This record gives sequence, structure tokens and C-alpha cells, in this order.
Amino acid sequence: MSSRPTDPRDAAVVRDLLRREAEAVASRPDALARFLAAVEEREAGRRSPRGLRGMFRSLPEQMRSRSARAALALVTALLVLVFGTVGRPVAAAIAGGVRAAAHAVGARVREGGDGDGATTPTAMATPAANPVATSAPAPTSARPLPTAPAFRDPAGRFSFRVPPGWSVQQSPVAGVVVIAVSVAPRGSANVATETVTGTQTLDEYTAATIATIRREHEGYRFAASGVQPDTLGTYPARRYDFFDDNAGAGVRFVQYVTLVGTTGYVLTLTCADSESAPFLKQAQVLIDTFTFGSSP
Amino acid sequence: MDTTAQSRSVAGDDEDGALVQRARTGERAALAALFARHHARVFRSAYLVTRSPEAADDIVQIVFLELFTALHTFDPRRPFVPWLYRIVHNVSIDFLKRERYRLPMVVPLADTIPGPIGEIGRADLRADVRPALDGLSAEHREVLVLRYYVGLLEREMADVLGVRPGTVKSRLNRALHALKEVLGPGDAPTADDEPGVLTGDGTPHGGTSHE
Repeated sequence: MSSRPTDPRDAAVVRDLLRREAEAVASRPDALARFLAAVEEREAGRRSPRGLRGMFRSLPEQMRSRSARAALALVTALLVLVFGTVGRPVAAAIAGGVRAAAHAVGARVREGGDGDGATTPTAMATPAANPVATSAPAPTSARPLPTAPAFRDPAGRFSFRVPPGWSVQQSPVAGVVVIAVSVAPRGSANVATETVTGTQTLDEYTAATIATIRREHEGYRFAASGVQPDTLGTYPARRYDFFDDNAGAGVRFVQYVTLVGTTGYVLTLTCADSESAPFLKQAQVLIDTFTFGSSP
Repeated sequence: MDTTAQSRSVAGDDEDGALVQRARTGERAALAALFARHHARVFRSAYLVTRSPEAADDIVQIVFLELFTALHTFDPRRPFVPWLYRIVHNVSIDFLKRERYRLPMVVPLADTIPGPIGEIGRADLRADVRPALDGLSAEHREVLVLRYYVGLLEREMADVLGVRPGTVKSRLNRALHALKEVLGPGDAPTADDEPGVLTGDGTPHGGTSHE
């Protein structure tokens, strides 16, 4: 590209790049039907906003009719009301997605079936599990898996034991195989895999991974401890820690990176920084039992 | 200025405005028509920014539900597309913030790293645009998408993003430089490159290529 960013030749290159990538995907064929069904459901909820279920369903409208501060207070209060074991800081941590949180809360109440707030705390830890579920009839994102003491990758590549009290969900993100969620202490673990090309060493692969994170998330701070040699499932691994301020609700990340043949594995632990000690203690069960193959 | 694009823009805005008016009265067919006219581009824009087709599907649903509940706030004297993409922007930002907390894992893309780590060559990078986009931040992807895929003017982008026009310009510059860095010098366009009119999914939007 030329050095003048607004050069029309640049525009042509960028347009072509975006067009080629955009044309590689298509939305779900039932998108319109889902939307219209959601509209009808929302309208039905608006006509009969009774009880807590009605409060949740009408929450987006309530939010629009109040100031942002009042809306946030409302969401926070409702979150605390429903998820009594989860404190206000968690609600604040997701305040950046107020509307999405409202959607998610409504969704969970509906999925809970009774609409009186008897939702499992697990839902709180995954506010984004189905951001359209207040209205969309067919969730496409994280679906709860049967509770099990162990998780086995459906492709048979790895397995681990799920720490007591944690739940396991399928990931809505391509490349991320599984998410294990803890409500108290707050945190989650996920495992991502990718096929690695070339003949990268573990250190090169780790460096590339870190470089990608640095570029994608400029605000992340890496711990001074740097990259430490470790093991994951008896394979040599690298571990490093990093942090995000997350608008004051500090988040700590720990990643384990390893290579098995031509497959790269990244285990990411995410937790509220203030609860990292108990969370990482529980997560150690997962790490210690992580096995390549199907028998943790 | 591309007068052809401009005339299409006015016609398109008029049609959108009429559909909004009808949808406000509860006419579901008009609502469905709005969805049909715009959902493909919204989906692809969300995909380009979030890099997840599943997320883009969810975002489409949220955006059009938001649109449905906000129909009464739309000013028919103003263009529809920037208003729509302000909703898309807000929903996408919510999604990205949420994912950042819940799923901070950026699937490592070693191949996008220039230098000795990535074995892939420049020619391969040119052949596969995915790593190039993945190599940009979401913020950079969004400004490029709004400008070069959706076809908004910089002043419209400022309105969508809630920033000053000067900020849009500098953000675009940084995004283009970042893209240039990922693509490398081998991607310098030749004299044969033409600005062209954004076609996206085949339906040019107003405001395209005439800034």
C-alpha cells in the first residue's frame, strides 16, 4: 500500500480484502424466521409483563426509559437479586455490556423454567452464553453439557477432571473447544487448539502466541515472572501470567501453551484478580489431571 | 463524487425510510423487508469485526431487535444506514467487551507473525486474507469495515462511533498502517487498482466512495 492512507489505491486493496473475507461466510438461513419469532415473543412479553419474568423481559425497555445510571443500578440490583451468592462487583464487571447482561439475565430466567429467579449461579458466570435468548428461540451459543467429573474432548485429543463445583460448557468460539466455569471463586478455564504449520519449536510457538495477544489486547500487562517452563499432560509446556484492568474490575489470566505434534494447545485460566488465589487452587485439579488422550 | 452511488443512496434511504414508517405501524412485512435488505451486510460486518460467524449471527439478532424497539426514535429525514450501524457498533462493542472478560483467549495465529516464527511467505499471506484481518485489533477492523465495507463517510463514522471526525481519520490511518504492516510491501497496489464502488454482498450502500 502507498504511504498515503487515504490514497484510493489503498481503498481498493482494503475493499477487495474485506469483500473476499466477507463473502466467505453466510448468516444462518433461518435468520429472518428467528428474528420474527423473537419480535413476536418480545411483543407477547410486553403485553403481559407480570412478575419477575416480566420484569426481565421488559428490562431493555425500562433501561431505555431511564438514565444510564439508573439503568445500571437496575441491572445490578436485579443481578444481585437473582444471583444472591454473587456480589455486586461481578455485576459491575459486566457493566460494559449492560444491555447484553440484561438479555442474558432474561434468558437464564426463561431457561430456568419457573421465572422466579431460581436460576443456577452458573448462569451468572456466563452472561454471554446466549445474548439473544430473551427473544431468540434457538440458542446457538454455549450449551450446557451434562455434568460429569471429567471432560473428554469429543475428538479424543485431551481430557481433564472438572474441579468440584465447576460447570462445563461448549464454546461458542471457533477454535476454543471447551469452557469450564467457576462461580465462587469467579473464573473460567478454556482450551483452544490450532494446527501449527511449519516446524516451530515450543518457544517459538509461545512467543508467537504472546505477540498475538499483545497486538490484539494492547492494555494487557504481562507479569514480570515472564515465561516459565512447565508441563501440561506430561508434555513440556510454557506458562505465563498477564492482567487486564477491565475498567477497575481486575482480571488475571494464566496461560499454558504446549505442542503435541502439529497441534498447538492453549489452556487459559481467567479469574477475578482479587480471587485468583482460591481460583487457581481449584484450577490446579484441572491442570494436574489434564491428559492428552481420553483418560484423565 | 460518484453521482451514481449518491443517487442510489438517496433512493435507498427513501426506501428504508418508508419501510421504517410502515414498520412503526406494526406492519411485519415492512420489518421483514428491512431485515432482508440489511441483515446480510450487518452479519458480514459483524463477522469481519468479531471474526466469529456464530457471534455475527447473534449480533444480527440483537441488532434487529434493538432496531425494532427503537423504530420510533429514527428520524426519517436522516439516512438509515448510519443509524443502523450505530446500533451494530454498540452491540458489537458489548459483545467484544463481554468476550474479553469471559473468553480472553485469542486463538494464536502464529502464521500472522512476520519474521522467523511464521514460516508462511508473503505470497501465502496475500492468498489468505484471514490472517491479515486477524492480525488487526478489533478497533482497527471496525473502522476499516465501516469505511470500506459498509461505505460510510468519515463524518457518518464519527456519528456511529461517537467520536470526532478527526479521531476517525487518525484511527483509519492507524488501521491502514497496521494492515500495511501485516500485509507487507508485496501488497502495494498497482496502478491498475481502481477505487471502485464497494459491492459487499452485491448491493451498494449509499455514501460509498464519494468522500
